[in-house]
Amino acid sequence: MGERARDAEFSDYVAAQRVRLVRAARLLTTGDEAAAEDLVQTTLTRLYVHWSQVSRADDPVAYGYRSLTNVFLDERRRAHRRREVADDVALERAEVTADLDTRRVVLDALQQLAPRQRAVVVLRHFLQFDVAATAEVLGCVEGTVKSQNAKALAHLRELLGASLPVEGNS
Amino acid sequence: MSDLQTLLESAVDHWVDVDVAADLRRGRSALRRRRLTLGGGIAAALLVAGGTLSAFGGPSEPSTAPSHVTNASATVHAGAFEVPPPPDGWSVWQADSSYVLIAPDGTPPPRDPGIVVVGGKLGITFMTDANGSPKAGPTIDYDGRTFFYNESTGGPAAQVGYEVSSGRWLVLQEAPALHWTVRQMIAYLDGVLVTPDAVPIG
Repeated sequence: MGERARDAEFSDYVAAQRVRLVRAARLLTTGDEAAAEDLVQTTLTRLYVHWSQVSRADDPVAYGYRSLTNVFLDERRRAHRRREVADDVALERAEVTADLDTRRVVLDALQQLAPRQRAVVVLRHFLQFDVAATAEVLGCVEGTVKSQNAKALAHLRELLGASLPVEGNS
Repeated sequence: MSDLQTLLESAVDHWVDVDVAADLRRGRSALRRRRLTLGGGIAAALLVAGGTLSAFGGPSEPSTAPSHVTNASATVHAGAFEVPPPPDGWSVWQADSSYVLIAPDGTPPPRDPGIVVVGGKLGITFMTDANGSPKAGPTIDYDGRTFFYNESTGGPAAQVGYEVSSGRWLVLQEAPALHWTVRQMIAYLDGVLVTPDAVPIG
């Protein structure tokens, strides 16, 4: 592929996808906009370098979200190794009422999830990936996605209230 | 309260700054670095010291010939390097296999090609750490690299640099007249491509 074609296709991709990539990254980083921007920049840089693979992919858009998720999980693993001592944040149930900042409550609730569970939630419920596509992104079997999703939803339901979807293991 | 998707949608702003050119620039820079890495054997760096840039027995004398400069793309060819476009009113003043100097337009050429006055210019040097590691001062992570920032402590100007490959460094010395922030210095240096023709000083 020529440089001009690569540049043109990549530019179109960025123009079309960057907003949603950033929003997904902000959920993954639970509202840390700087970290989200770093994730997206790293992701897009990788996509550019491997653009021939992206352009040949069945679904280049999904390829981008797969890359974003992998960058996020890689970063979380590194951060975990650096930290050594795991955060043991006390969980407080937050009642979502009109008096509370719903946005902060949602992001705080996401923060209580393990990175992989958070990724499942973002992929399944924000990006609307199906179970098979989510499993492919995460490199696991569909059953793992279902169980991780069920645990994540149970946790979120506890934190956010009972009106979350009851799709449990879907 | 609505379902989870609505909650997630409401939890993050729709406002996002989209700078396609910046993403493209980062991608190109990473691709060039990757190709260089795959091609093997890059070297790096010049030595900037005491307000002068000297060859210090480097592999070649600085050329007094005009650098080959083109603006056909987002980078400018300069000696054995490609650099981001210089700031307005500035241009590549001199370059060879080990360094690039960027100066205000109209800066007269050096009288002695062996000793080039760096002061006041933006200097990019490819160097080994044989004369002392540039690794000093605080570190700043940017674009997946760790940069070192040396404040102007007795020297002519502040510097930022990173290790291109083992023992080989790319260092940028600020031009005070530009009033660049450290991040601007790092961003510019990050966009510099060291071609396989580059030879480190030291």
